[in-house]
Amino acid sequence: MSSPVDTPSGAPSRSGPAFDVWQLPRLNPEDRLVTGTAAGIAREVGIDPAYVRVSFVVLSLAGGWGLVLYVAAWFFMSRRSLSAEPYVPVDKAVTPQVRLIASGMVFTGLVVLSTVYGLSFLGPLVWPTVFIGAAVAIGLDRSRLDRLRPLGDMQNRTIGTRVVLGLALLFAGVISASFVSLSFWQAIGGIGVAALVLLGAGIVFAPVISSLGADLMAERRRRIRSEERADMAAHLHDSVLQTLTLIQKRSHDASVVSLARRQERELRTWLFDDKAMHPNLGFRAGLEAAMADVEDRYQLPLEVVVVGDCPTDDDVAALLQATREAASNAATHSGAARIDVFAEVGHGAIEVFVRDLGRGFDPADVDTDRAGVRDSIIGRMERHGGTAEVHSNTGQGTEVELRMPRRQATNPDEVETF
Amino acid sequence: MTEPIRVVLVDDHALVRAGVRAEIGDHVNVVGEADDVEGAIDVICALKPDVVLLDVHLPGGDGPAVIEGVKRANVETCFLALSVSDAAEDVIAVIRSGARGYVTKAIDGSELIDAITRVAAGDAVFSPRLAGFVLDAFAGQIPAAEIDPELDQLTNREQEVLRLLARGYAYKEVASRLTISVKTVETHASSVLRKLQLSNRHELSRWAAHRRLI
Repeated sequence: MSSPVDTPSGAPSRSGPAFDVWQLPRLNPEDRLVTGTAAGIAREVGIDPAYVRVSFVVLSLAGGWGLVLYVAAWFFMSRRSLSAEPYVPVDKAVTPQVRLIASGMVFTGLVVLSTVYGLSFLGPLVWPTVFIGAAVAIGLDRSRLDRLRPLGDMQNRTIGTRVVLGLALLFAGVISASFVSLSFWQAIGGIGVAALVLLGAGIVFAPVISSLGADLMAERRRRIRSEERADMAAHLHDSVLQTLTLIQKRSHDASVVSLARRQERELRTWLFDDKAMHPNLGFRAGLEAAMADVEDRYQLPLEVVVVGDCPTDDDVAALLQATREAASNAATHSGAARIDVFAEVGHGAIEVFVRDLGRGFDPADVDTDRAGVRDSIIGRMERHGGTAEVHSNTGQGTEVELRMPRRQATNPDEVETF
Repeated sequence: MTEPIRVVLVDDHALVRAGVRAEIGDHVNVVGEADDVEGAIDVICALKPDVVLLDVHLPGGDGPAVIEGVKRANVETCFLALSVSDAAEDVIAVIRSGARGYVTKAIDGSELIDAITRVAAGDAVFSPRLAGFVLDAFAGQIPAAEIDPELDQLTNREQEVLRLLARGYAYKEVASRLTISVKTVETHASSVLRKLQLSNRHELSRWAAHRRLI
């Protein structure tokens, strides 16, 4: 927490689709022969689909393994469109070459198991198959679930347990397979080959495992950070904000009061700012910033109340400028001790009221020397299709009413979407 | 003011309590202070003050916890929330628990005394900020304050009053602007508070309906 200022800007960019780091290989319907499974795998590994298809055929002849693998792959592969977004390999260490070699190891291992040891899928291998199937299901199902919801509520231990359980099942399956109607030495050899298969599978699935770990770490870091921030916010709220308020009330030095006020506002923005959660909010933030600026420049408190919000466009920007001008005018000319600014974003229009209880003026006297009002407030509003009215009476303060119709192009419901 | 209004200060900062006491002590009778939820409930139940100045954030729970506790003890008093907090949800939560108004700590002494007097008389005290929060709450912008859209809408007049209050108008100015009496403005303000507080139970049943619990 050495630089708390960067936390709000850093936090929002990490939320959202960041969980989607590792993606299941996608089916490749464009190059498909049957279902696009082989083409998808080929694309993932970076080889010609023909090799994959031949491998499946060979493995199918070798005890039916190919058929099982094919159906499983088809079942688990992503249906997401290839053009949806580019595939981003997570683990740079696992290059396509390594994946290719690893896939080769699995392939060769299975061929050796089935031909040399006669381990046909359709033979007396129901139990081993169940074990291996369960292991694969646990491994793949997990990553599949994670794509559907954030990892946040998944405990580290759960993942560890599942990985260990999956690997144990896999090993049990292969070993029990080896002992089915085999001599001791044959079985030992079988275990060796099985270990090769496991190693290959491990390399193939390494990106899944490592991306799960990375996701988990990132998620945990995020959580710790937000907890720390909440703690700190509570603490600052209780101590520093209170003190700053007190300084403003008890100090009679205008510059001290202004400094304390600015500090309070900055701190408050940091503590209570929910802009990070609603990136679409433009008007409220813009108005608050503009009014803070006026407050600093004229060392006068502005009570700013905003209802609703909307994104900023040219018209809204003009409205903000006009409001700033009106508030500056009030601060310069009215002599009031406080200026009230109220803005309401309605479905049809945005209305802003800038009011002071200062000396006011007779609108009839408004002549060339108040060109500021005419040009920068009324003129600006009218150029953008809005209206501005100035109500004032000598001795009774001034109120500027600004009204800017909202363009229908912007969705009238967006203020209610959060 | 024949008899000064009896006030209890609830704030976890001695410094703030001392500051507020110094500002209002000459005009109202500050009979007690408390710095946490438990203490506040005890002091309020023992002293039965006319008005409680209640900080929104307190150790051992927040402002609403104090109001609930005092309600459970069947002690009649009026709460005026006083806070530096700008978080709309927190402020609305205190109002919904039964506070009669909300002012920020930056308020000056005479305004605070005015607000205390008004609350003691049973009126609602709307600072411009509170009026803005309430408008937001009824527009569904403050998630903590879901309001039943059919049962608890504000009338047009109530919205007009709230908007003027948010623009910084005093009750008297609102009255002359709308050509109604100050008493009517007070009635509107109170009825807005009541709607905000009543909508609690609708919120609960809606919550349950949403989750198909009933």
